[in-house]
Amino acid sequence: MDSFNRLVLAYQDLVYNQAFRMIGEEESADDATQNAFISAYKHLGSFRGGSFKAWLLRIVTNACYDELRRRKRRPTIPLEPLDDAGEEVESPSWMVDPTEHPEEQVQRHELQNAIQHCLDKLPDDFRSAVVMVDVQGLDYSEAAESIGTPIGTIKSRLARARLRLRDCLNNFAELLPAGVRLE
Amino acid sequence: MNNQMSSRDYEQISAYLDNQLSSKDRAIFEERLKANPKLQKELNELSSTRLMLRKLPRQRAPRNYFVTAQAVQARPTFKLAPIFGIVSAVASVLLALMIFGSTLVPSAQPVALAPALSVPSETTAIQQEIARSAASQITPTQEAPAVMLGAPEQATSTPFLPEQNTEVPGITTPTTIYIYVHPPSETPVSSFSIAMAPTETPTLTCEEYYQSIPIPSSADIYNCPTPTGTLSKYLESILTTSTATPTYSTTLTSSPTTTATITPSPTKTPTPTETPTPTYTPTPSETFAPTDTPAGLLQAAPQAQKIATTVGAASNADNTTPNQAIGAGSPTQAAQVPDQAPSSSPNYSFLNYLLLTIELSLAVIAVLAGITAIILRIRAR
Repeated sequence: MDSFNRLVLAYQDLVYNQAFRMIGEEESADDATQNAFISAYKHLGSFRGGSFKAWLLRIVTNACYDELRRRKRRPTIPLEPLDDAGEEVESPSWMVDPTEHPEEQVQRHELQNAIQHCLDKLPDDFRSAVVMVDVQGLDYSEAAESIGTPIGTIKSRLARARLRLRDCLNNFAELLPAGVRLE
Repeated sequence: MNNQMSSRDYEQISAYLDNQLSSKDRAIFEERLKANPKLQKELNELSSTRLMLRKLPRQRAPRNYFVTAQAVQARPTFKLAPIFGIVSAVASVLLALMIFGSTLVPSAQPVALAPALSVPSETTAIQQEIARSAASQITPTQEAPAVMLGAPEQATSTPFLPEQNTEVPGITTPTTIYIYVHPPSETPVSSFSIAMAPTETPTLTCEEYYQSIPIPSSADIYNCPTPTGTLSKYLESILTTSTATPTYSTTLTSSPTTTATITPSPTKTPTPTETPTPTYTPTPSETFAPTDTPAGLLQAAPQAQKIATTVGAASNADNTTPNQAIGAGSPTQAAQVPDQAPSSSPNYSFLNYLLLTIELSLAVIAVLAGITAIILRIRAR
């Protein structure tokens, strides 16, 4: 168990980052990370070699799916306000208040929130692919091994996920840097 | 703009950004980029999106996620939920099978009235045998069976014990009478043998059976008298369903020093022997009907009372007969009953209780396991 805990120390940031980007909430990400490490310790015998990082990310991704299913069974009140038609406002006023001139740090923080908001809007399969490749920096083969799908599926999911993210981030154009401003 | 681009174009853009295209495909795609400004524009936007994602700060773990033995062992509850669910389902299915399955299988418990037509002739035969036995000289040469010697233990628990101390000529009082009801034999009623030899009827094997086999089978219990506590149930069982022609052997036991055995045979040899305890007369008349007495038994009861009266009157007319026991009425009811043992009256009641207990247990298990599974499921969420 001590040896495994050394692995925990080495990978816990990676695992927690994956969980946080998948779930978008610190508390649930914390639970999913802990469950992932416990599950990994219990199923060490099923590790057949290869990339330990990919195997660990696969476990935490499954733990995130479980957590997301629980959250769907127990829906929480959305942070986004609703318009007159009951639809969520994609660009909340507290994020796009034109009267304020936030500092660069605040603006960066809001941009991160906007990106996370768009990630949360993605389907789970698309989100897991784009988080593994674009956020975690895995290549296609590692992502395919972690998710358990062929590389072609990863390519397709990644392209569609990026397209949806681009469309979503267009709603937060005022938050985007000038160099990456989308049209 | 998106409508002008196919999904394959976006896959190529994405793969180009990630440097996942082969050199040949990459060259072809770059040629297309030069010729297609819309494709170039999409590439730039998706590249910006990808860049923003890659610039996202890496979240650091808020704590260390060390795995401890307690954490590993403290999570079996969610695994137990489906187990409890399966247990509840299996118990429910078994309970349903036991409840509704019994309605599909026809009952093996026969319910029949005692044959009324055969009763008068049997009663007459008993009266004749009693008269002949009383008139004969009783010789104390035969010992009472072991099962009879143990019978007086029931005296204190029998509320209907007759307290008739009338002296009977030729028999030392008080007198205990056992009436053995044997399974049917091919011997006609009018040709009773004195000892009811085992070769003629299987009834004498009862005594041998009690002496040789410690635990009798159910069939032998029904065919043989049991003077150690189950006589009332035995009489109840044979009253309810027997239809065959009976044969009888009447055993008179006198205590404290003699036991008279009277068998309905032309060569009767009453044999008074010593008995260790005072009198006992099995009297199932007031206690043999349980709460679940079949309707046939209730209908047969008046007939039994009528026969008892008839036999008692005949016995009173003859002073030499052991009329105390006959007057008690209970042996008379036993005497009118055919000796063809019913299938399973006593065990049927026991089986009912057993089935009821199993059904209740299954119901409790199904409910408790189901509730536990639901609670575990809720807690797992």
